[in-house]
Amino acid sequence: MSDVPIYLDHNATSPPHPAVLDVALPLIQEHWGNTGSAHSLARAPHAAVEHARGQLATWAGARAKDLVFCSGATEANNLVVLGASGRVLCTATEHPSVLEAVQLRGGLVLPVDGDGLLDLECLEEELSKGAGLLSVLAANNETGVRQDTETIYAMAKAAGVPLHLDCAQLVGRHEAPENWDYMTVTGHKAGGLKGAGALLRRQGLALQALSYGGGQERGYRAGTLNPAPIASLGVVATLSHSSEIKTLRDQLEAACVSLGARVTGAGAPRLWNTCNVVFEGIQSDMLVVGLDLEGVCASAGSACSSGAAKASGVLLSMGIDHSALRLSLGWSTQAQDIARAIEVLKVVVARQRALGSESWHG
Amino acid sequence: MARVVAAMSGGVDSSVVAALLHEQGHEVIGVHMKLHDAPDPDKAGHCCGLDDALDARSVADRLGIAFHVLDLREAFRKAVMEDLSKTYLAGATPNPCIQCNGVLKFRVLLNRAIALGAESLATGHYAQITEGPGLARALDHDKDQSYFLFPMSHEALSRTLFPLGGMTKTEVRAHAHRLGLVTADKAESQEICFIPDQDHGRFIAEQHPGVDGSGDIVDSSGRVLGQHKGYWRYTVGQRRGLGVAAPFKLYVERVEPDTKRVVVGGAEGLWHTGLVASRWTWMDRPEPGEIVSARIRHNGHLVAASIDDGEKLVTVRFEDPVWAVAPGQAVVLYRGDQVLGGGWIRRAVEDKA
Repeated sequence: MSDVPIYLDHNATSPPHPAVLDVALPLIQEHWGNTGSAHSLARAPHAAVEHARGQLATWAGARAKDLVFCSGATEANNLVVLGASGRVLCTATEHPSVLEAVQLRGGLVLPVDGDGLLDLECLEEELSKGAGLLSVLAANNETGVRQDTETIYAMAKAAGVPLHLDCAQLVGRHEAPENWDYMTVTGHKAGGLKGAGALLRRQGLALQALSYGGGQERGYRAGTLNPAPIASLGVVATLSHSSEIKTLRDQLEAACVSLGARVTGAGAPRLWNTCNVVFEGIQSDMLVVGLDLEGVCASAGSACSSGAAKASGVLLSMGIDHSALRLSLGWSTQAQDIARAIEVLKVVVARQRALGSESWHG
Repeated sequence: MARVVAAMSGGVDSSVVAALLHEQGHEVIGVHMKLHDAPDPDKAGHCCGLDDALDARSVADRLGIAFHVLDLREAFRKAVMEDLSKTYLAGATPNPCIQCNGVLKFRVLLNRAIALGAESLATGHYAQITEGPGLARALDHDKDQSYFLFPMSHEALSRTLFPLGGMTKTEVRAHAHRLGLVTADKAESQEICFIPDQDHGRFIAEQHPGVDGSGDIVDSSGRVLGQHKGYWRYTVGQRRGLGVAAPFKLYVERVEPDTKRVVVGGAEGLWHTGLVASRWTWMDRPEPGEIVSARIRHNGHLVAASIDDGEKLVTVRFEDPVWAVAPGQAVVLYRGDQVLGGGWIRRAVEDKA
């Protein structure tokens, strides 16, 4: 095993991009002032935050003043779902920060098909009953499956229901969706720093604050702003949307298939960096551990605080009751990383297949 | 050095195991088994709670070793939790710790360790693995756990390390302090980790809501002395919780699942000259008639005994009568410190002393 692990877990978080460090490090080392202060040390961090606001607004096609910075995509999702009035709808494959907030509010979870795509007939029916918000994960963090947000937007608009798109996995990777009413973003999946996210909204749409105290962000989100990760989010929004990584992802995915794996969401449009595969007969948490011991960082889906893999609600809602292996690439991924990862996968899968199925009877 | 998986429960013993192996230069992989859903993380007195996983992780982080949680809930539910219910419902007294060792640790987890490229699995048990390989009592006889380990196969023994088998608990705690482990002063874990209040009667009633186990408490002549709320709450030799007034101390002599009767009597009715056991694991089977030592419960005395030449069912004869042979428990045979084999008790031999 080489000393530096091969990192294939960009959908969890990603290494800071050099362009991000250029902007962020001075904000930590020199320009550490409070953006709200009345003295000279507030200037640089304040300017950095406002610059990022502009960069992000440009990416999203929104007004800078309609953007609320917060601690991350989870908080942004909570903000829009918990603050919405009326019945809330979401898809079954949402990130838990939407799903649990919707369930907390007694909202409705809409089914998806075997590829993870929202059931549009069911959506039509529920929209016709009226709702205060529809929340949709534009690109799924586990499977990379991308919803048809343009069609969904048209349906929601016709029904007069505002559409929230969770775009946490899109910033720094793709163009922003054209049509939406609210949007969640974060930068740390594509080279940004952890600790910042934002909620955007179209002019004139309502928003209800969840935190109170300092009056920051026009009163919609109290708390001292965190300039370094916020600035990094702005930088990520300007990164070129190269899809060279897709070639590497396709190589990796083909190697998994040749080892007997099934690709999750194969029939749907997907993020070009994400490979989600099911190796039948091998538990994905064992694959993740096995890969880790050989120097490849992967994921089996969301993790609980003790580090145990939970059954994936995303896959269950797609009718897949097997655990999956998620390999997600990013800006730092090199061709030789994928070549090495494929070799390691072969060894780990063969070793685990050799043990066969576990028997605990008698 | 070799790659070793260390089972880390979050207690002091397994923490020291991981630390000592790491100190010796092995590539140690800390693994915590998630065995069941802890009812309440704040009531972490049991071996599988979130706090224990976090303690294990803290130790691994301090040592700078890999650490992973493996979800073994399904295997644990089948092999241990369902076995507990099934055994009590059959009128016997299960031993979930032996089941957990025999199936979860030294079959499922060991398989997983091998699948991860490890040469061996290390645990914090107090027992020794000898040449052969064989199993022997811990150097510290008071801490010895060999009774719980008899179902280990030859292959399992050859790939297992018990680094604490030659140490006392005091030495283990001293190592924990020397190594600065957060678990150094943790209390010992409880008996049945998935039943925090240890009320197995409640557990079984909850698992089998349709089953009515209530019935009569009778004496050996069949006279009804009282009623009970579930025969599975009773174990041979039990005195408490009978709720029957009598001029002398009453003990459970027998549990009858078919009639749901719990048969009680005086202490004298519980002396047995032998037992019949099945599902044996042999490390070194003694000749029929050879006098060896037997243990019929953890912490029980070693008593002189011999076996017959049975295959599946083996009869164990005691040189002097033993008290309260409980079906469902294990009988383990020793020659000196060496474990010769063990089996699961089916019944006491009927001729009484």
